[in-house]
Amino acid sequence: MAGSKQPIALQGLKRCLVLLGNVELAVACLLVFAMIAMVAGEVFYRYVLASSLFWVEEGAMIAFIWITFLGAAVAAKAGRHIRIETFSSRLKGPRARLIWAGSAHLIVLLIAILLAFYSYGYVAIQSRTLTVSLPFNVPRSWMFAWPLFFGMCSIAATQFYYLMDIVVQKRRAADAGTPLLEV
Amino acid sequence: MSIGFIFLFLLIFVLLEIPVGFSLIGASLLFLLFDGTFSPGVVASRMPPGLESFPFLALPLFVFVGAVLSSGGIARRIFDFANCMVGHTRGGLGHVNVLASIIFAGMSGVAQADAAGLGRIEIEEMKRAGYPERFSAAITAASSVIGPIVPPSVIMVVYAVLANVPLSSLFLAGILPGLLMGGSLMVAIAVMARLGTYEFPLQPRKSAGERWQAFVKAAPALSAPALLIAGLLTGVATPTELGALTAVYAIVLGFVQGELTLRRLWDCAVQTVLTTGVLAFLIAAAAPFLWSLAMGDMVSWFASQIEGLSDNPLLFLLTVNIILLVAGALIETTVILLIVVPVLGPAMVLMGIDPIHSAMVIIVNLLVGALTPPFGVLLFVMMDITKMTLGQMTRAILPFYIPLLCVLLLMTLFPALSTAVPGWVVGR
Amino acid sequence: ETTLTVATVDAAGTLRNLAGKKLRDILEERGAKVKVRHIEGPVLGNAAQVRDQVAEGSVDVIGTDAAWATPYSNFLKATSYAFIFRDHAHLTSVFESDFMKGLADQIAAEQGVRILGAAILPSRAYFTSVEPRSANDFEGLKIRSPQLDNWLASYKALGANPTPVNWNEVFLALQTGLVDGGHGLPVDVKPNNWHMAAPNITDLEDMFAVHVWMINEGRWQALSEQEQADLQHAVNEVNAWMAESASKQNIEAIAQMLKEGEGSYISHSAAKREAVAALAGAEKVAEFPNAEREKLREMALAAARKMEGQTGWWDEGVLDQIQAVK
Ligand code: NA
Ligand code: NA
Repeated sequence: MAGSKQPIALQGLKRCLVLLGNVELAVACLLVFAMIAMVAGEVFYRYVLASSLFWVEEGAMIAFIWITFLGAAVAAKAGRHIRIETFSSRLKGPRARLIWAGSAHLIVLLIAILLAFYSYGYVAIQSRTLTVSLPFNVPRSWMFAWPLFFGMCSIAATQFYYLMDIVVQKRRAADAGTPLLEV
Repeated sequence: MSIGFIFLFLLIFVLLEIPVGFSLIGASLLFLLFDGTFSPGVVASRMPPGLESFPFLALPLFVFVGAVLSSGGIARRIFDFANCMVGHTRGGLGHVNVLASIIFAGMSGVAQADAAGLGRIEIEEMKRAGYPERFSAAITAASSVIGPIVPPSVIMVVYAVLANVPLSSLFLAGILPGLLMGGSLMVAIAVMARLGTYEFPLQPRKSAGERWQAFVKAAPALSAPALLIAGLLTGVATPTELGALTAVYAIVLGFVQGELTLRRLWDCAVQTVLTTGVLAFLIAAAAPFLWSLAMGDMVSWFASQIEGLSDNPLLFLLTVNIILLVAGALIETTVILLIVVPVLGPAMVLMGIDPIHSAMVIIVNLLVGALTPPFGVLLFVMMDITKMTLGQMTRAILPFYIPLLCVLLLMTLFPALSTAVPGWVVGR
Repeated sequence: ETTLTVATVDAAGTLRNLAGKKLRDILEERGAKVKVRHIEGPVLGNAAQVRDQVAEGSVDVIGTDAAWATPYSNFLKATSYAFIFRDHAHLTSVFESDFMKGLADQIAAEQGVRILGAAILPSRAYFTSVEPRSANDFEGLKIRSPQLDNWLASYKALGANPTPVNWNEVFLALQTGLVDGGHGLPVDVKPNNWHMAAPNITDLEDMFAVHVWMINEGRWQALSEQEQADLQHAVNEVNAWMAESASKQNIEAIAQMLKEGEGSYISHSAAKREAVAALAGAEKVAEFPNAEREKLREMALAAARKMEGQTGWWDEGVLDQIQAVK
């Protein structure tokens, strides 16, 4: 196992990220069931009880947006985001491949940090308007800026781990930068 | 800075093998940074609202439905049922393969689920019956295209939101082309049987009793697509709501039949989260990209360009077909949709092409592209199951392009194939 | 020279879309230093999203239904609520009152968005497949509603059953019976063909359509005095044009829809019935009894009074304040 060759600090980061990934996944799964219950419940109300639950649209939407950004964070940990393979298979030697993969991780890391920074900046503005139909009104930042901010912070941490894994183990490990989660 | 640069940035990121979602975000960030008119922060403000559309909720719901139904042993029952009905004909399991895909299409929203879930059973059974492996792999891949044409369909959800077309109309529009696609593949199999292209083993005809039994076993599964289509035709609920209702139905069915466990149910939710985290994230990532294109007047520029190119909508649609077929063979379907639809959609409406018609042509086209080398994703799923090479796979599937492309051509020439069913529902 | 990005969200050819173009043209003709870049259609997002972009400063100006300004002020919620205003003139005076000008300053300070002006358009009408002739006919009627609490409350107060449906999906929802009716300004509704599915047009003058222009406050303050004056002038001119052409086109749109559909025009107002009958034929109009309209009005106002002072609703005394405006 390459994991055993990792320095203690990197192993610790790995354990934290795996734990974080599992928590994100669990929360998102619960939101999937909540979404199904809400939307199906609305139809039940309409046809059986002849009234409508108008908070469902907003409630399900908040769940959906959180599922998306939590799911994006999990997908980063599982290495599942779609990319189009161009030159990597044609590169000669493990070193060139590691540099190639490492720079891709670095670029995604920078993009995630920038997005986390910018999304935090919108929290205040989006908090000025509230949701309208939920039983308790929620600032719209909980629908937009916060899920993006959280997802990007998690992805930034994940990319940082991949990058460090490659930098630290550049010579020995053939599996440096392998996905954190298997799902 | 010219808006054209945003495409250059996108290309650079994609070539560097940055995941497509992050490539879209990166391209928008760089463009806004260099352009200077707006803060690059726009990217963060546009991404989550890009998801705020009720029809979009259908995406995770139908992904979940597909996962539950294929984990509950339903694919097997559907196959057995189709086998009892058409298994005894010449090229029998080929026809079974297509029929099973049509039925499965009524519950599953992505082609990969068909190719990987049902496809594994189909290939196994055809091997046992002595069918040539190349034929089995080719017909399984070709018939999996029906999955996202017959409702429900994840690709249609994405299209409907991007192009502002009613999702229910799009779902209804897929019924006829999906059946036509299945029919044309069956004709191709019959022709191959007659010409003796392959040596097809014969199976005995099943008795009426066996047929009845297979029907009874498959009936709960058969009723899921029937309920969905009935729901769409009568309009008792929106497609999103039908997604949730079908999900509840699938869960109950799975538990009643004893094939679903809590553990499996949880796995279905996990699959849903991952698919949503990839696909919906891509869509959110495309929102600021499209916003920048809109601010740069890209849409009207493109519309004016093609206005000058051709006054003939049909010729235009044929040209679009050829370009998209090439693109579909090279790039993932959703990615093309995200970039093409917002620019091409309004231009097509300007040319007087019916939005539902153009939607169906684009969707079927991209799906055929997913079946075309070098990067057709459905070929890779089959290669994974059968361990065939891309070359063998390509040669085997070659004859099936004829029926698939014929259907695409017919759909391009005759708008009614797409618009008749939604038109009938709306015109009642 | 300053260029403002102006978005009107509605599709090409609609009244709002034309108003956006007109705003650009007026400023150009005057040779004003402030120019407009008009972004057509919903390419930047839906109305609520573009409104948020104005607040954030990535879009400068939005021209949209006043409903989308209601989250900024509890008072504005009352402007999209059934039967709050006596008539068109009353609503116009409220919007021209000093109170409204003070409110615009207050919203600009608190929310970073300034309301530049409003065009008071004709009343919205109910499009239904059934033909309502009494207050009772609204009981349980599934009416399409936007996702805004004052609208939901308003339809509920009339005894109806508000159902949130996307504007683009309304026609199909009507067609398939997911909702029984839609509520909208006839000129806006016509391109969406609601009347082909729900041909009866009931105009009770319970709610008027209001169009507002909102600008990012930082952007507004950065304009020179001359630029502010030019922009304000152009906005006022466009608003006048909108109000006039909407009222002219509205009756024509109703008549046209009656000719295409199988329904009637139902209103309490004899003058309006006459105007429609002149274009569409006397057999196409029917009367909604004034006494029944009065019942609905009382139901709406009773519910409105109950909400007064509750959190998220207008302050105590606002309804009387509105009524006091002449
Ligand atoms: Na198949
Ligand atoms: Na399907």
